[in-house]
Amino acid sequence: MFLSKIWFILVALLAGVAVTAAFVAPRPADRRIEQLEGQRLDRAQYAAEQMLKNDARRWIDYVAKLGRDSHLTEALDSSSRGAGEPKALHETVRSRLKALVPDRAGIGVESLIAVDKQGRVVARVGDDEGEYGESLAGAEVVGDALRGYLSDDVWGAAGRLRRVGAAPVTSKSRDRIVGAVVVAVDTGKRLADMWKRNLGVDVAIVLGRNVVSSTLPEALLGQLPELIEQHATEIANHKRTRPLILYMGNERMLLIAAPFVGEASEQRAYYVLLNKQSPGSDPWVLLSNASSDDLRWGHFPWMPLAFGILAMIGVGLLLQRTEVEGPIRRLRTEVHSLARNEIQKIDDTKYGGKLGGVARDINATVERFTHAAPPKSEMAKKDIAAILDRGGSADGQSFDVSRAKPTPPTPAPNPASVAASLFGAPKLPPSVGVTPTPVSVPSLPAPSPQAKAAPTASVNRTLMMPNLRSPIETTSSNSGEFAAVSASALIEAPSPPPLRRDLTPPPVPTSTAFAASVATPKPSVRLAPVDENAVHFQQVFEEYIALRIKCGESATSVAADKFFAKLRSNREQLIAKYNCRSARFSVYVKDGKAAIKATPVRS
Amino acid sequence: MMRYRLLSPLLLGGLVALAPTLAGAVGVVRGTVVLPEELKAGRRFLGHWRVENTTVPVQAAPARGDTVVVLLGPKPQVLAPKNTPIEIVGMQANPSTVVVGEGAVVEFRNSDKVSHDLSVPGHPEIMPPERLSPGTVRKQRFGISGEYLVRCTEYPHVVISVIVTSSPFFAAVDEKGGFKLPDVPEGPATLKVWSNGRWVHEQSVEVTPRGLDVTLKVSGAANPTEQ
Repeated sequence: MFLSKIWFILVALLAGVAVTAAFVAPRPADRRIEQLEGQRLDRAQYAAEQMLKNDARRWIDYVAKLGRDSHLTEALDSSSRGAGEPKALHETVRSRLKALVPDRAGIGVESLIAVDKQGRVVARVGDDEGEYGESLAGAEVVGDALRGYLSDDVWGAAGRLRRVGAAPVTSKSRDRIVGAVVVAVDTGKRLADMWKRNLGVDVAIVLGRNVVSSTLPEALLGQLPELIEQHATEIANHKRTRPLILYMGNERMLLIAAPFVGEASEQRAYYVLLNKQSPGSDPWVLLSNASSDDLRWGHFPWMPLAFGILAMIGVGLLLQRTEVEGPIRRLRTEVHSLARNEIQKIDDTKYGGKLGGVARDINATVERFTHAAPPKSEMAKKDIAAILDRGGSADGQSFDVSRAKPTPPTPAPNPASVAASLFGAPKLPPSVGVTPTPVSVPSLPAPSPQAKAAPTASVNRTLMMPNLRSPIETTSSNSGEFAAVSASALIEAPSPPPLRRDLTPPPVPTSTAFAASVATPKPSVRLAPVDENAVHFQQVFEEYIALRIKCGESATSVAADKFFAKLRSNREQLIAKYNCRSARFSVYVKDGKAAIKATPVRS
Repeated sequence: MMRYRLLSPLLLGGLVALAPTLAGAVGVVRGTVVLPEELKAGRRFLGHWRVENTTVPVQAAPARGDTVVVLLGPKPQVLAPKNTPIEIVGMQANPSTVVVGEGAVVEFRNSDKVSHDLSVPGHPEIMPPERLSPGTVRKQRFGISGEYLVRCTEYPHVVISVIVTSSPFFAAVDEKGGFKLPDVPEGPATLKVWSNGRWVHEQSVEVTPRGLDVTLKVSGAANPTEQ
């Protein structure tokens, strides 16, 4: 079992390691992918910033070129000097601007504005074309142009974002500034689409808490302004964010936000580059993304996997067979042998772990039922010991007559005279009994029906237990109780070994058998016609003497009269003590010596 | 009668001449504020490019009155609150910086053709956002001393500095950086320079009855204390 347990632990550890690896192993790759995607967004952001800068310069140059148009120069000069009708100048300049920029929408220009030296709008193309006359001198990019700078800016007004470029318009003589031309360029869907094409990432443009434009569904970007707002300090310090993660529905987006320059930066205007992140490292997500091609024979190590699984199963089964099934089979075999009395005990040293414990338990149980006599029987045996003036044996089940109190060194009593003295018959002359003569077997009176019934009724119900050394005697033959322990139950065997109930009464020696058994000289006892107990006592005495002779013990040391008296008194004690009808005595061999045991008879 | 008529102007002139002496010695604090280039650029928000044209010289940024010198004296003085108008025209405020006493009312007039959403960001209790349509006036009381930047949400370059103080000694710096504070009581005082929406310089001076002439050199690395 030990190796099986170790194997199970190893398999569990292996499974744990596999699960851990399944969850952890993709993490470094995930981080690496995220890092690479972040770097990619970094490069895209840098490229976007450069594109914004180049665009700004391009638009500045564009309006500077427009400002060199002579018609515009003259009109703005006139307006600056206050010469000419404003409306007429407005029409002239507007027409000229339209002529100069025929495909305004095609190139992404939202509006073109021409202002005079005072910053007043002379004409505009695009938004509010009919409006003119108001001053834009306060706008920084316009003021810069009127001072001689070519510059750009980003305006965020009315929910729109516009990149602005402005350039001064000088007089024909090139000695003074007579006005400026301002261009406002679309910074919305057009820019986002262009960046997506050029950079390969999605783009969103945020103004304040609104997504102005995006290549993604704007409804899914509701959390984007708030996310950027949370990193406003980082943006202010570094002009961009580190790669951030935005959950857009079920998709995970990696993004970098950077501010627009100019006034729009004060209005929290940002451009955001987004890239759909690769699926997470969750094994379930990875598995859900696996295709059937991934499980193709050449792409998946089917053979090593199969060999590994089979090896694990094989080792497990082998260990199971070696450590569990085999020992159980052997134990069952031994239990069966024990039940058949082929062995005295199970060799529990052959079994380890719990099976060894079961074997030891079986042995202990057998030991207990073998040596532990029921209390009543034990009491009876003790009485017998008292009868014979011997100490009870260690187990209280038998009596060693040889260890009886030594009788006086008197000539061996004649069994017959002993019996006569016991049962009231006239004593024989000592010479009769002293001379060893062939024993004349007395003709014993036939036992009365009660006497016959008694042995039958008090038959030893012997349970042939597995690994029992000897039959277990019941203390009360008629009680129907059996001191039986199912050894098979201890090992949970499906079919416990059958219990053999030996109901055959112990052989009651008949006079013939007794005569045959007592072939050697033995004391003869003549019995007076007494009750059945006398017959029984006589039988017991004769059997006991015969058994002692058979066991090589002295038969002369037993005083018959005392023997009978003790049996009688013991019988009375048993009846008084256990309220039984009678008591039966039997002889048997204990440790190579004759012994007697008593059994109460209740019915 | 004739003598009284001749003596009256002389008597009045003498009283006027002696008044400062009776009230304590006063002097005139005048000087020049030298701003660093970044404060004279004329732009708060720069784009990617700002290059000079190659044809005509670039002109200096016009003084918009957004640099102010304020003298804080040791003696407690009170600047009486009064209504101060500010006009927003041509996408810019004029003046862009005002110094008012506690409880003064500033009147913002929008003379542009576009609306302006004016507020003091971060201090809605002082001046909450409110749209100022073209041609309308918004009156706003400033009751607590401090410096406030009134901004337009739509046009961030429109920034109006409102300095609420108890000191009656302040002056806007002209295009050359000069300023003049008349009738300043003698004694120790502190000169502070406000420019581009923040205090850019602070200097302790001792005002004497003969007056004071100082040059305030504003360091480019001055600690910005934009409110």
